[in-house]
Amino acid sequence: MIWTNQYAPQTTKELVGDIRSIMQLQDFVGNYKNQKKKALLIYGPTGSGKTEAVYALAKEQNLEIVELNASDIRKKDYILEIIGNAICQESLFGNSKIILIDEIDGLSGMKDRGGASALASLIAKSSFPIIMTANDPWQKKLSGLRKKSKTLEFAALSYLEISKVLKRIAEKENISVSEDILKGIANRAGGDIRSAINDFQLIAFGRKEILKEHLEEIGERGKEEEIHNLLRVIFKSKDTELILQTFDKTNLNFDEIKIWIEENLPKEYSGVELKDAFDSFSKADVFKGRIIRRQHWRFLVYQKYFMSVGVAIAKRESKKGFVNYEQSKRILKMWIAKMKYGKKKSICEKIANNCHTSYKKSMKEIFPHAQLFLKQEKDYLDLSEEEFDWLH
Amino acid sequence: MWIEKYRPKTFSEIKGQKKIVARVKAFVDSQNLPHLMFAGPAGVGKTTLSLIVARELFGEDWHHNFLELNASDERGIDVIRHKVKDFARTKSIRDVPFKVIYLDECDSLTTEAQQALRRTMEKYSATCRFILSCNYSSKIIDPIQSRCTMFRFQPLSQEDITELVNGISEKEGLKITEEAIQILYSLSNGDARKVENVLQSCSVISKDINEDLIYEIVSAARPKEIIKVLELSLDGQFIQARKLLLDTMLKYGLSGIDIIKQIQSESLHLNLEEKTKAQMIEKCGEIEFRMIEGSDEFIQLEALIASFISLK
Repeated sequence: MIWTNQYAPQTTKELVGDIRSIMQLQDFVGNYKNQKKKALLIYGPTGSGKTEAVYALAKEQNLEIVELNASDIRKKDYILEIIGNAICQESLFGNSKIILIDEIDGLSGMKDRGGASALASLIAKSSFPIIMTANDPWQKKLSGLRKKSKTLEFAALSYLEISKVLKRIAEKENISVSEDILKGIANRAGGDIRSAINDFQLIAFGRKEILKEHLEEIGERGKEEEIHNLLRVIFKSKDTELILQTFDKTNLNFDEIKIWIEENLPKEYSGVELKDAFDSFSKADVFKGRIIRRQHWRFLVYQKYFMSVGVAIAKRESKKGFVNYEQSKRILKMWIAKMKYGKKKSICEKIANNCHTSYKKSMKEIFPHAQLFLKQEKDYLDLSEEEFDWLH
Repeated sequence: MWIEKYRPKTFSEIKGQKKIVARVKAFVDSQNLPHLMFAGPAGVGKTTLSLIVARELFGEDWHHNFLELNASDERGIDVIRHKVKDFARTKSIRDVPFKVIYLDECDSLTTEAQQALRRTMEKYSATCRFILSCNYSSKIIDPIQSRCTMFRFQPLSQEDITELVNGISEKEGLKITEEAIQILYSLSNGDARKVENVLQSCSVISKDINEDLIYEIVSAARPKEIIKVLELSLDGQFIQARKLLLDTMLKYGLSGIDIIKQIQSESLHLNLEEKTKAQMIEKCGEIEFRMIEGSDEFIQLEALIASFISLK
């Protein structure tokens, strides 16, 4: 079980952070009828407990939560349908409910403009509290919504508050760990309680006692953020200088960056843009091949340029909106296939040995035809049990 | 495997290539063999004839006096040279005038490797004879060609294939229609190995073989997914196209070059304007070039299918 879920606060009393913010949230929901502004926009950095606070409150007061996140809000019709219905209908069992729209700043500008204004028009009519969360509420596209909403800030949590939560978890999990170490974990998380808990679970995995040296295992945190940041710069801007600077600042090797860009490129680009971007990306790979073959490292400059700036300038219009960048599964898939492929390889080697032909030829010309009858040739080819099983 | 079970063991069993067989037999009868070069497409009897030469020359101990190497598998010419050296040095088992080295798929050797091979041939020609085989003699450097007696093998004729199929059917208890044989011939382009493999695959499913079964077996050996990849990418569905492409490559163990070859040949048959097809083919060529120069085949293939998006 993931600790961030398992130890999610169940009541508002368990919440950490600024007590005044939490009280304001309670007041907004509790006195919803008397609120002038019918929506609440909670903002604050990642992992400051915005969503958790809403859920804790809902559990405590037995409220139903109708949740939407940015990726749901694409079209005006959709908003009207989902939220419009939720606003009018009485909740099941007669309970009251909260409409929660998480990560509202993930609305992408052009496409979702209809969505944002549809939402704004619904707010005034709502008889249930509408709560939105955002990292950055000052974006232009949110200005309409912001005017109709009460804003509430959740500050980043201090390392002391975070370490208190970690200590509580350690006690429940029966893990022996010093307070210094917990503070160390909390410190590294930079105010993000979710990542602190995740880090803690990572180093506590399979251990009953945590020592100082285990802290080193969480050095990786921030890597993902680093790459996400680089991807955003490449995909969203055309600023050559900024792109190259950000590229140089990341501590990742080119191959890692390459697969991240490759995987996520088609999520941001389409049509001619995608074609041009991949063309540039393919040129970068040609330079990589030349570096490998000739050990001429100056080509690195070109590889870097084509895989970053080249991709960036392929876009026709600037990209707005939130895209959830994902890690590529290609390398993993290739590795798994290689393991499987090993059997085919050894079968083809046996064919080659027995049939006066090359391994390559048996792979290409014989195997595809012979796949059907190879099972009958177990003895002739002296196939092992694993090879035999692999055939079907 | 039938391709071995029905491999001819004597000169007279070989299908087709009558003139070549007669001349090679004459060399063997006189116990005097020049270096030979067998050029021709796959499955027409090059390896088979070489094995028969060894058998006829050396009798039961032919294994000891015959070295079979494959230029496309042996890693580099150095490995070939070492093996030739070791083989040529040891004393022959019987009192034979020379040993025979059969080097298959010589056209996969680079020009430099062929130069090295030429020197090796010269060095050991007192004790060894070489039989080189290749698909295209034009890929073999002149100095080697001029040292060999060249034989150009032809694809088997329809009569040869019919004779072959009927012979096997009789021994394996198969019933095969005349139309099926006709189809088998035209799909195989006179390649006996392919004919035998397809026939054995068919026999797993049924002893009664008709044209439908042949078609089914032959098309099953060819991934249909590539056409789907092309359709998806022309349709602008890049992410799906890319996923299917990767899965197909991994499932069949295909290389980037294999895929380009297929994309290029499938593009010719797509229902598109000729001009569009020409653009696709041009891009295939460009990407194939980049693939040779580059480091990551899949990136190049992605660039290829991405270029199809805006064509339609």
